[in-house]
Amino acid sequence: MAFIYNKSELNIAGINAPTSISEIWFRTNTAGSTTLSGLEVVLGHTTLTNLTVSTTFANNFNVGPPLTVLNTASYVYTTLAGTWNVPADR
Amino acid sequence: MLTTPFTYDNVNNLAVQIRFTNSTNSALGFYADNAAGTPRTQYVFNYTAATATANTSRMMMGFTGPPVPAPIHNINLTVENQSFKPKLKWKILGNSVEENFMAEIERSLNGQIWELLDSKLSDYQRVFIDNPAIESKLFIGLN
Repeated sequence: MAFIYNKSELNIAGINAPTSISEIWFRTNTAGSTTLSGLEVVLGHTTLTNLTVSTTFANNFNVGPPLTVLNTASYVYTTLAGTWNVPADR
Repeated sequence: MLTTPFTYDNVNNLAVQIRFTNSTNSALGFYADNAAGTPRTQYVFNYTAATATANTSRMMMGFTGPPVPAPIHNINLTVENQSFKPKLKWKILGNSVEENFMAEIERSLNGQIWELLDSKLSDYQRVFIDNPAIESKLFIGLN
């Protein structure tokens, strides 16, 4: 699956300069945890927007090559509970 | 925690792709299906597929990471006295008139530097630190 965060959204969230992303997390309305196998996470730059995400996954990375930031055979995936649409706090 | 940090450039938008190398997993159940629902996630259940077959709301996601330091710029240095050819390595940390820059000269040059011929430098702006133990000169000033 693929999705995009616009620069304007990242700026509002506090990213206002080139930033080294070393950790990401997800929030749902109910905390949960499971072990995933064969998980890969890829990040990259794009000129597409959160509303124009391509159905062809590779096309979403149209500014330079994407980077595989996580590639693991087994990963314990834990989500954080929170209110819908309030992902900023952790 | 990511095994390889990604440097976001703050110029373009950020694309995220989560995929699996086998068919035993699906992350769909972990969607943080944000109520606004407009920003989309493209997905497909077939882990070998290159194209999505459906879309849903986007996950709520957070990031951790420090700002990236300003890029280091190189400058050219002309050595007037060619009798010695030291190994010179210059670095500029920041390129604003209000930012410090640092120049490193890799060699013992005690007593051989008489003047730094940079019109934007003056003596009172310089700080010399001698450290013969590591055979180097460290110059810190303002450009």
